[in-house]
Amino acid sequence: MANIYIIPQWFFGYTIFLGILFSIITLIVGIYALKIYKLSFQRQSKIFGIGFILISISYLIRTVLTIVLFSKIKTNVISLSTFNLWSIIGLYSHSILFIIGLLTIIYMTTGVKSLRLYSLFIILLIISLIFHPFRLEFFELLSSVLFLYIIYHYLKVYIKNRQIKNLTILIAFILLLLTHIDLIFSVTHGNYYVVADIISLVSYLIILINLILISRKK
Amino acid sequence: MNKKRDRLQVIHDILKAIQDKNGKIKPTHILYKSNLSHQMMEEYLNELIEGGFVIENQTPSGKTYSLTEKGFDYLKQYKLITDFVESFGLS
Repeated sequence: MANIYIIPQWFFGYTIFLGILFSIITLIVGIYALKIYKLSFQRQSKIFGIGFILISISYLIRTVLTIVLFSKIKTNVISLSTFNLWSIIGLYSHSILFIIGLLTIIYMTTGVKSLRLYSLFIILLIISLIFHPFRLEFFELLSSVLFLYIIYHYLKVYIKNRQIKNLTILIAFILLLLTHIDLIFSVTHGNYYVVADIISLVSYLIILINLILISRKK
Repeated sequence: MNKKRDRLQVIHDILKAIQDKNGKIKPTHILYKSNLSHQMMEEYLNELIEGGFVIENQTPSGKTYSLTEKGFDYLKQYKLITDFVESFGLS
């Protein structure tokens, strides 16, 4: 049963920095989407914005958790299963918020207007996350499946419009999928975690650049 | 052109029609400019009034519509809105 990420000690500083960066980028995207909602009251923008803000909070929690653990553990590797209650709560909060964030984005892509259905999926996912014996692998597997659904949406958008901006967003989400597939193996070796963070960095930078290009055209 | 793009475009056309008439447009003009059915136009106008983009005015000669600040903002930021919506597949 694996409830641990293995993070090389030399990477602690970097992962903290990257966690903050991911949190900021996703927050910017989320706020921007809400700004677009305020301007246009387009429902999809609001849901998309909420999804990204949840992911942002999730990264923030992951970062705070890493900082706390970094200050506590002075060994070559970190075992999350040894953490105190707050750390466990933090870890669950990170996972749950991330999954709800992804689910919210998928909810936006389907165009379905059913809060009952949306809340049902959230409850089912939270229960399965909490009670699954292989919590970490399950979380990463679940994230990967959700990313597949998001990618399917962006693939359709790209095929329909054939525009570079759609292709870059598609690539960003494909890279994020690869990140979470890679993280399934991070329970066995620290290098997987490092690779995942680097791929995530590329993905979020692509999303950020896309956003900057949009706002500069204004 | 996808469905949401159409919706954003229709809203743009309605607001632009009101702006072009200096805020004294009658429903018949909106109907003509927006190329919608009467029912659809009513739905859009109600939505725009509820959203705070348009104000309905009662005059002796009938109803007229004018833009609010939010309505003007929409027209100003229309390119930004559509770029964002298209890029992030929010349709």
